[in-house]
Amino acid sequence: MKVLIGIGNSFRGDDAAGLKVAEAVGGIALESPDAAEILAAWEGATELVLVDAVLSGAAPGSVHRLDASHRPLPSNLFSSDSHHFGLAQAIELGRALGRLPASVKVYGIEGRDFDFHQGVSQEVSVAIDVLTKELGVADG
Amino acid sequence: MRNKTIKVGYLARVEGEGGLYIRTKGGKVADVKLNIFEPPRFFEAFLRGRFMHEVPDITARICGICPVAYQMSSVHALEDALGVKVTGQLRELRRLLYCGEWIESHVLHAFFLHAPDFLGYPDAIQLSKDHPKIVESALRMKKAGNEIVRVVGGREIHPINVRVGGFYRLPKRAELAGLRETLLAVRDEARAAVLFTGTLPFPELEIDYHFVALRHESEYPFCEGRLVSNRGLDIPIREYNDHFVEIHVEHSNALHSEMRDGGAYFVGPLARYHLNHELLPASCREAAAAAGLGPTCRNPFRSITVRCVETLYAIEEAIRIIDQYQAPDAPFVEASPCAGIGHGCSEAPRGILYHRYAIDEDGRVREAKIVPPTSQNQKTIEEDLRAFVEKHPHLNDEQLTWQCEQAVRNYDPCISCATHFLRLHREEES
Repeated sequence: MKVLIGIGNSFRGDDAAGLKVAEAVGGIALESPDAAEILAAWEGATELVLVDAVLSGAAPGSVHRLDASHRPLPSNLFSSDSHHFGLAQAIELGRALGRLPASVKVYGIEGRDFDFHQGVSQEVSVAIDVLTKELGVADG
Repeated sequence: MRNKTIKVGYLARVEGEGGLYIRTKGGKVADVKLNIFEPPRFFEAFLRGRFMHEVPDITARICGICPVAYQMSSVHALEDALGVKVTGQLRELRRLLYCGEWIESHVLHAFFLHAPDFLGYPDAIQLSKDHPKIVESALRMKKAGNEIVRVVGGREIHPINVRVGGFYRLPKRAELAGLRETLLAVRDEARAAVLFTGTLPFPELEIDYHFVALRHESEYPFCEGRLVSNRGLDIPIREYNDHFVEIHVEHSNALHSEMRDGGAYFVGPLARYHLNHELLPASCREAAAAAGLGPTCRNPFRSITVRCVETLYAIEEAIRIIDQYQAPDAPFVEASPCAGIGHGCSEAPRGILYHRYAIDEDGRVREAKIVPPTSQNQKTIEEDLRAFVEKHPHLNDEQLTWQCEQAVRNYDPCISCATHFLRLHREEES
């Protein structure tokens, strides 16, 4: 079973990117979840796709395509500090508990503006459309 | 012990953003600061002018881990101002909702933030590699707590179903039945979690705390009772300000709370446990004893056991409430706006959370005062660190730093709550 989860915060500008992709393709949209919630959301999946915004210094709107099936996400893209228990931690927690689906693909949309407002920037809007077409309609 | 300075720029595995600074001189601690640099958030200011029915939803946003506590303290304070009392099944439903929050907050802290310290792991992920069953059990318990909050509160984070007078919607019988099944399934795991914490290695430390908590005549406290201490305090909630005062210290964006005589005091699970131990069901007292706890606990490291005992209590109390539940006639009691001042205090997972509101005849907030538990514990945390450092002169710098960080985690500080208010005073140098 293929599960797509979009993660983000709809009140912080481009941080809503993952949510918008999930909504567009009929996936699961999780608003600022902790690792336990992310883990629960992919229960039963054999193929997992995760979408989130990132801030790594790359050009806004660029899409990082990663595979976390066998190794952790690079920490320059998804911070793994123990203060924020988010996407990278959920994957590693799942891996440690043997609850990681066989295939885990992660898409990071480079954001430009994470200020306190609703609405994504133009570059991110384009990236959302690109990923929506690429990821199509998810199962389950 | 030679002179040393311990500095942790950014505390890990605590909710919110803070740092730690300790300076010793000649074997004594010269200075201890819990640096709260998370930005202040000004809730008490922007609540002014809001309509009373908005208050529970606004204050819930002070914290993502303990929104129910803010909602409960706020509705009780507003109802006090309005002369409204919520009793019977609505009161039981509020306790049920609070059970859910205690479970998810305590389990999150005990297993994902605190337990790694005792077993030498840098984080819960490393812990889960060697102890997957413990972490999976914690995830199941946390999920049960989340489910209570979703069923009774309408949403897992920042519940939407709480209002002055009760709730917007009553839970359905089938929803509560499903919840009961989930809770029964984790009850034994909760007991096992208590016993597991009893096996952890705890440093020796006993502190003569000034414990402060709610005390109710017949139940372990959530939303009602008198404010009591182990040093003779016994007052109604509305006399809070006669005994406690908030002050602003330079190194913290969170106000410090202390007794009016200047003394530190301690709120939270250890305080509740000390002041209400005999009101816990026998099953919980037995589990505590089996894990090495007597009727009181003055070792802050052992707070992990107390949190697990309270988690077991919350699961059993939730089942009890569901079993006796009969739907009331209405989801809320009517409350007409009128001018007044009201006080509310409830036991958040981290300790007493005090709210005071002055409302006008239209039901709009004129003044708000909110004192979270972590603000109230800051002075105690700093004093405890002082005691810990002076008691362990043989630890090297790395060990001491690690242990001090762990010591802060004993208190499960919620820094986002503590920084909700700051009085801004600007000085211009000419």
